[in-house]
Amino acid sequence: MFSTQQGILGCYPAGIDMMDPIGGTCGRMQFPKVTDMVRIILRNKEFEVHSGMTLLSTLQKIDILPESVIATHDGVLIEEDEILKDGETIKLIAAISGG
Amino acid sequence: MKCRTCGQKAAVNMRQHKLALCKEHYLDWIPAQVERFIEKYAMFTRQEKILVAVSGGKDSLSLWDILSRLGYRADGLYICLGIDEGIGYSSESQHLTEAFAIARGLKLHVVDIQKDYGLTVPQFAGRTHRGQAKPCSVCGLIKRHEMNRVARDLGYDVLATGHNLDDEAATLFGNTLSWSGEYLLRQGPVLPGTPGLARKTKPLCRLYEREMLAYALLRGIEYIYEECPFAEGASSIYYKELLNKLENDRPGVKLSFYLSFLEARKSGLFAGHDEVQAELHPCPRCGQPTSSDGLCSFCRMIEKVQAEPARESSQRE
Repeated sequence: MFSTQQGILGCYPAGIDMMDPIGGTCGRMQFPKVTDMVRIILRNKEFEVHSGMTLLSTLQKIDILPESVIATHDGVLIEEDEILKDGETIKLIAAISGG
Repeated sequence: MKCRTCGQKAAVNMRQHKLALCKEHYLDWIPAQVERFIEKYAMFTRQEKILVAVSGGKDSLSLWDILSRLGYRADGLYICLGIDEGIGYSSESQHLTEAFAIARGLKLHVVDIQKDYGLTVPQFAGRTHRGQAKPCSVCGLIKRHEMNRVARDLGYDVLATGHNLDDEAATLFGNTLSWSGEYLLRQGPVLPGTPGLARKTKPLCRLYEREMLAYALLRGIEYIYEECPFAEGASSIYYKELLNKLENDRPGVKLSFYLSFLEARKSGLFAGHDEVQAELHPCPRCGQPTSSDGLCSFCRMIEKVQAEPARESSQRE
């Protein structure tokens, strides 16, 4: 299982396919199962954006620097020019580490 | 986006190099780059014994993987710091590191700070002035000391750490903000060995953090994804974020910041080493070089902690 909020450690790539919440909450807002939308997950944050945009445009829309993450879909790395399709869940893996 | 080598769909695009590669060619490209940097900066040879400091994170495990693939004689060193903070951070890191070594048949040395010195890193920090605000300084001191001790005791020629370009650029940025001359003089791909101090090398110093993440994912390396619980709010992470904002607008700026610094220093922008390098003496307790007249910082900390009973109200115990 992978959850930073619950204090359970995650490791990659084993964790990639193990977190796949469908439906749930984003902040205080409830959202249903989606069509025409793409779900983006980064650590304990979730975003919903319209499909049909490139990954680069999507990341810009939700204010995430492409340089700071790697995007995966179904465990496969995708790049900036990938057009995100209806109902996809994109998992972003943070690159920055250290202290 | 297509792989420049084979024309297949690219897995990784590196804007700073104007280069996109598929998984197969990316996994060939990274070790080739590391080999190039090892040779360019004369880090070590295939005849030398290398001790890789592994934390269980993506960079150090990837470094160990790359050196092994390249045929270097590289063993691992894991230092158990005893950081738990309710999430078992150190134990999980150790587990992943040991699993990595076993799966690849690699030799791993494990040092347990609590077993060897009686206290965990957070406990040491709670009992020293140096660690009052955060344990990171104490942690760094202990890791540097132990890495060097193990390298010397076990006859390794050189230490290798997984610092990537983002680590180096963030450190450089911080040292430039404060114009820390001594640190600026010492920062680089290789810190030469001196009597009592093993040579230190950073074979990943020109590879972006994102590139190393892609390598770890594509190689299927299981690493600790969580941050050290004490890293939250660290200046180095803030500097990395700032540099990534710059990089977003100007691809390649992190790399040129670091490389132009190395060039500037080489051509004498800063004072020569002789002018600022402090004279070193062997510590009378552990024998490692120190600029202090008496004990080194590590041994001073050990003696201080051993001399004082534990404070009941210590916040980190």
